Amino acid sequence: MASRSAQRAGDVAWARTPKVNGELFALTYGAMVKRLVEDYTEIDEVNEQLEKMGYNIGIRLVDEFLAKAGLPPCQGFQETAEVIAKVAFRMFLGVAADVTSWNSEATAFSLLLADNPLAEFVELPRQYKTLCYSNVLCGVVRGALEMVSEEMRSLGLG
Amino acid sequence: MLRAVSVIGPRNEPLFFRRFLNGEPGGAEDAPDLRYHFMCHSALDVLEERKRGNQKALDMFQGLLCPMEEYLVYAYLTNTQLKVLAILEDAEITVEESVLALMRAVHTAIQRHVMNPFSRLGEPITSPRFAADVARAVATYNDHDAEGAASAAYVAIGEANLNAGYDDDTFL
Repeated sequence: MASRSAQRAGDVAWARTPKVNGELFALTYGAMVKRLVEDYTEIDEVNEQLEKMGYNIGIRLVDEFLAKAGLPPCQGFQETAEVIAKVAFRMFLGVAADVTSWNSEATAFSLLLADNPLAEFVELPRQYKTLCYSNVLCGVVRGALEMVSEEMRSLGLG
Repeated sequence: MLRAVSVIGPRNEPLFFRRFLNGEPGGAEDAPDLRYHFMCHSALDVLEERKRGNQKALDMFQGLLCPMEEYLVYAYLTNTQLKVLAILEDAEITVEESVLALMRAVHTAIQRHVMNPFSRLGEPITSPRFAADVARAVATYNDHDAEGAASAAYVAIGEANLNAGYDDDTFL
């Protein structure tokens, strides 16, 4: 039931945000990743840079989110997860994520994006197998949560 | 029956070539491959002539370029001077709409490949996803082609019956 109200809040927030062309967005991000791959020799460094960029975006984005979404403070880590997946992702990316794979202590979870608008046309060449293409999203979540004083670590899985 | 599909770039550089044997891509013999390559190359000359002549052509589908030995070559020219050539076996009936649908599907596959930030333009297309898209388009074409051939066969049988049985007493 909390998930459904989060979903509704997400839809409302999405309807209110100004939109940008999805293809332009995907191509811009792709150009940026390609540039990073060309500049850095190690793929791990690229992943790290993407995460850092995401972090810088996240620390700024969280204020926008809190202002626009108008939700009350979360009552626990589970609710935080739902809000990130259903409201924040829906509001900024247009697609809601799914919260899965909670660990036994309920301190770690996975966000699954069924339809990733960043990687819409992407096909990774074999030499970039270890590239976490959407690692910027991990950084965004980390930055946002740090600003609301939740220290976290994220592992992107490409 | 579709024999080969070829994608050629704006500077006439070959970007993709796939031979199809009974709907499946492949075959390891090189000699038949060279024949189709040669046919594509000659077809390009015909395309150049057409381009020079008809500057006002807005439609991308060029239609049947030329028959060559027992094959037909169809061409599709995009605004970026990208060419898609299809080599078909000369059959009694070739439905142009199916060929056009095939060309459009290949064009869509090219677009998808080009939108990939890691694809290198102007270089031969080695993406497995692109090859799969083209194979799917060819399979769809062959299905339609088989239907067309089957219905053509029905028409032929029907005509044969008409010609054979005019002494049927039920029709007065």
